[in-house]
Amino acid sequence: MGMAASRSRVTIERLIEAVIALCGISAVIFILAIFGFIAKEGIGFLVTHAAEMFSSADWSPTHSHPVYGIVALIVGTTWVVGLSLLISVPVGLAAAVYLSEFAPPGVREVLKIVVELLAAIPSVVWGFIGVMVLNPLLQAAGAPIGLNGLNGAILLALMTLPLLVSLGEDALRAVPDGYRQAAVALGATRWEMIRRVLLPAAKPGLLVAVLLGFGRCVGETMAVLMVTGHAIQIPTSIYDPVRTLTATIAAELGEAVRGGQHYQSLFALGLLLFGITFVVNLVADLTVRGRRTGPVHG
Amino acid sequence: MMTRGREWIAFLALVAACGKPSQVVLEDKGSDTMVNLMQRLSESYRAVDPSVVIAVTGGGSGTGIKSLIDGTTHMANASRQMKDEEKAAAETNGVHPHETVVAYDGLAIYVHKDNPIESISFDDLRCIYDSAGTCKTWADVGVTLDCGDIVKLSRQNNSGTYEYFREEVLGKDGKFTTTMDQSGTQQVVDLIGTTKCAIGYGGMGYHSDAVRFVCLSRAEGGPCSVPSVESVKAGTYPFSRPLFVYTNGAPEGATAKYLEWVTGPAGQAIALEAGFVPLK
Repeated sequence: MGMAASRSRVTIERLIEAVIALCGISAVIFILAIFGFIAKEGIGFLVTHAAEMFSSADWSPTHSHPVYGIVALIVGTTWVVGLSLLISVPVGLAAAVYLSEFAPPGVREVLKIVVELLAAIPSVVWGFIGVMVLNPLLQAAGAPIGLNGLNGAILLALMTLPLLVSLGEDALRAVPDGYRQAAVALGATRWEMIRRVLLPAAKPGLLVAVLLGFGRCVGETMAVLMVTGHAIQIPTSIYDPVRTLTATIAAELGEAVRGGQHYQSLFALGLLLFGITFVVNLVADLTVRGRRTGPVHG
Repeated sequence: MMTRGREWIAFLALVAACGKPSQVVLEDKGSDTMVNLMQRLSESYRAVDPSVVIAVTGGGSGTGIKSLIDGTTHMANASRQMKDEEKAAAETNGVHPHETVVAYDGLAIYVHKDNPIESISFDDLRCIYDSAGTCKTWADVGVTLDCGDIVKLSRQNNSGTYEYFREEVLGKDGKFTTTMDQSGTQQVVDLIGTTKCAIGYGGMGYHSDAVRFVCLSRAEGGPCSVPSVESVKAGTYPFSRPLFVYTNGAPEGATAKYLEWVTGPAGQAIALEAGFVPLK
């Protein structure tokens, strides 16, 4: 009887191990499946229409003579993401330096919690703020219409700040205290110490923070759909409305005839987005790895 | 996908049937212009026949028609007629579209309430909205308004209102210039209400205090008309259209009863209340 019980216990153990192992690799399976699905629908279109897609700014997929130029959409995405990083990177890194070097422990804890709360706000709520608050503010500031690239950039900056602050602060605090003490012992002021020692030492970590922030911005859909004005054009002013790749997919996929050209073209856009975020994440990951396994600097 | 959609509807119907014996669920999908109207109609119909639940969703005329072709909806609302390609696709899927006109709608041209524009012609609209048009500022259409460029609002490309406007104003192969594409007429009207330099188009039922109708003329210098139930009925308003509900074959059973009620006096009174023009 004891033998039987222990045998069945071994069987159960094995079963549980197998289930846990399956869960462990499930992320890989999902990623491959998702990539396979998007690629299956989109890759054919991407290959056959690449020349038109990357040379034209005219996106008219439902016209009687459809044109699938995505230049304006790529520029629109780059524009909004670039503007938002111009806002969020300096502010985010400055906040990270403050939190890691200047803030008293109590203040730091409170600030960290508040900053992380920012990350918990759903993007559709940010979109709401963009429409209801930023729209009239930007109009008061002289924009012909408040739903534009700048509105989207400000929202994206606010949405990526938590990421930049948390990861940036982690990177700065990972710099050994010996560096700080050595710099101060050599007569460096606090600013010199931060600029010459701390920031260079934490550079890979800070770069990862910026890269992940970039990836977050590129993929964001709901908020930019609501506030960027949804106009297909190459912007020439920060007040110009633009349209992003993500917003185009979100607005049009629901109606595109399954399997049709328009449908496939949207999957091609998805594939492109997937490619961009994949590369960015990979670079970020390799940077972190290089840091961990690389030789100790200094 | 087609069969999965059917199964899903069957499942919903089953769930509803479990809750209350012998309840019928009818899916009604499509035009964003019509979504408020169809919602009101379906709510009022509950009092007429409590055993029928009509699930109304928007998404655009193209979305509704596509769902009908896929067999995932009983009724498709459309603010434009089905295209030949769509009819062909339906027949290939064994779906025989049947058209019922449920109301008429005046397609209004909206501007901000402080915009002094007196009238606008189809030529002006073409000059503003066509990709080859040259009207960039309000001065280009003869209006003095303290604005930069005209803020041109339009609809997303699966909208029946978008298609209808494009065909009527820009022509069958016409192309829009750069516009801000909104996902519903409500958004268009709301945005015009807060944007002094904006112009947009949409069903006349969406009028609010923050916007005003522009008097529209077919020909430059010709007599202009403001959308109203009377002007659409009399045919003096130059930009009106029928609103359709498409079904697979002539409506039967619960769907037939519902559409009969919609096109009858009770349904038409609700259409009038919702800002649309009744059939008679």
